[in-house]
Amino acid sequence: MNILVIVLLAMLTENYVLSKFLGICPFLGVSRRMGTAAGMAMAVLFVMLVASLLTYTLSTWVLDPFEATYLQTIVFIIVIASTVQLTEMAIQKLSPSLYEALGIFLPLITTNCAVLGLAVLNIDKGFNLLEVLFNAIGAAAGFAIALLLFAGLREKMDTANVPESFKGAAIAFVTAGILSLAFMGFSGLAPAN
Amino acid sequence: MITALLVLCGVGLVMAILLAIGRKAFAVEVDRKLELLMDIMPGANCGGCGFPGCSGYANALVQGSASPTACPPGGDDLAAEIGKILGVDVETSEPMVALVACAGGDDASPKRSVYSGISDCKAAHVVAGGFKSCTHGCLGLGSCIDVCAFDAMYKTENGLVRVDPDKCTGCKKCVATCPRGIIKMVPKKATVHVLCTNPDKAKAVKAVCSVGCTGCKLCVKQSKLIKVQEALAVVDYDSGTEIPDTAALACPQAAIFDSREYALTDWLSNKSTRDTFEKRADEWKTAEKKRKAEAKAKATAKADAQKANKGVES
Repeated sequence: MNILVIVLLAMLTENYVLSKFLGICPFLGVSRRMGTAAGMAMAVLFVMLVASLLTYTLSTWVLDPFEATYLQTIVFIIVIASTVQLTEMAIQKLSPSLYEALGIFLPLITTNCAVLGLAVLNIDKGFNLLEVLFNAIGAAAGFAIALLLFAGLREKMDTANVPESFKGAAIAFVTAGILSLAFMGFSGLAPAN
Repeated sequence: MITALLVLCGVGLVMAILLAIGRKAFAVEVDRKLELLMDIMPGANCGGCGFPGCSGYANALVQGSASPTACPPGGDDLAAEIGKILGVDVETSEPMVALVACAGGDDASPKRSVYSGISDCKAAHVVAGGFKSCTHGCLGLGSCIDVCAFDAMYKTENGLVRVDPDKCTGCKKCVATCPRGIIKMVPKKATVHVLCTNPDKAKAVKAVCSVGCTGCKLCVKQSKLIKVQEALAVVDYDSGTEIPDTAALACPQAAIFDSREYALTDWLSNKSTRDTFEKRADEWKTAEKKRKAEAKAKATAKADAQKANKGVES
């Protein structure tokens, strides 16, 4: 498959958050401020890249030769959890303020289903190493787009006159739903195959 | 089987080595004080201090931007320990507990409509100010009970919520949750409370509740610590908590509660408690009337005597 198509698919048409509904937790949790949302997007980009490459390598050169593909889920989770731990340590050292801002959502990337979903889909779609790399970039970019769009909307909503009963989480969910509907418009981008 | 074990152990080992290297490479020096503080934190992460969880509070303490007494669940003991670690003197504060300032149960302040929506006070309150005839009264759906991390709140038989002062740590979560704003923080040692928050005038209050404060100021005569604002009696806890039991007895609406005499749990909901209170109040009022009449008689007699004296002199 064409690299560009893979990136576009992962980023827009099959957006992990708004079309596949993976990674909803950080999508709602850290989308309150633009700054933290951007930080989270970067952290997820890093984890997705490293985790995709590692899981792909493991799957191709360890699980397949040993005929142990049934171990896929547990091995992938170990890899992702370790990657997240590493990322956490790195962020704490390199940017304490970002570490503060992300708070609990940083370790929660461990259980971010978008990362595991990406790792599993990489294998299911039968990508090669280069395609895996770009699929990860596309997925992370899609996650970033969704998160940043939503964070921008929520910042605007803070000053908007929202009816009392819709304030807070309620209006956020409604907005997320509408955003998801809007992303269905990208389905036309998918190449007919 | 063997392959599975080997693969998993291998992956685990590689990851463990990577993490060990990462820990060395990205080692961050943590303040020794911070570690010590984290060890003594209650760990309930209730947010009562105003910081995101116990670690947030510990951080703020180390940076000096938080007061050692800010942790309600930890209380004075924790404040003293924090003071030791940080090397500062800590002034202990009066422990505060939450109080649901409403005595208008189903019997006293009847429901004016049927509410069958979400069983949540906030939701019920948005619908035309709630289903209770008094728009300040406790709705009793227990939104505050849900947020209480210490299991200190419970519902009573007559549709109110009460706080167990022994379990309450004073974290104020319920205060922030109550859409009516009728949960107040009071000193734990205070015994006399006004269980009403309706500031309306007597007629309006009486129309919606039989135990609401009408602002008649009879209690003010019994204790200077009670003040009437708008048409609502308020205890001035800052100035003191020593209020005589006559303040409660003097209240014609039974809106003042005295924990030295009664239990808050069945206050006004239990018939025998109510009867005892009314009997005592009546007795006290009669005695008071008698005392006043006697005092008046004495005063008149004295005045008469003085008059008579004057007459003799002239």
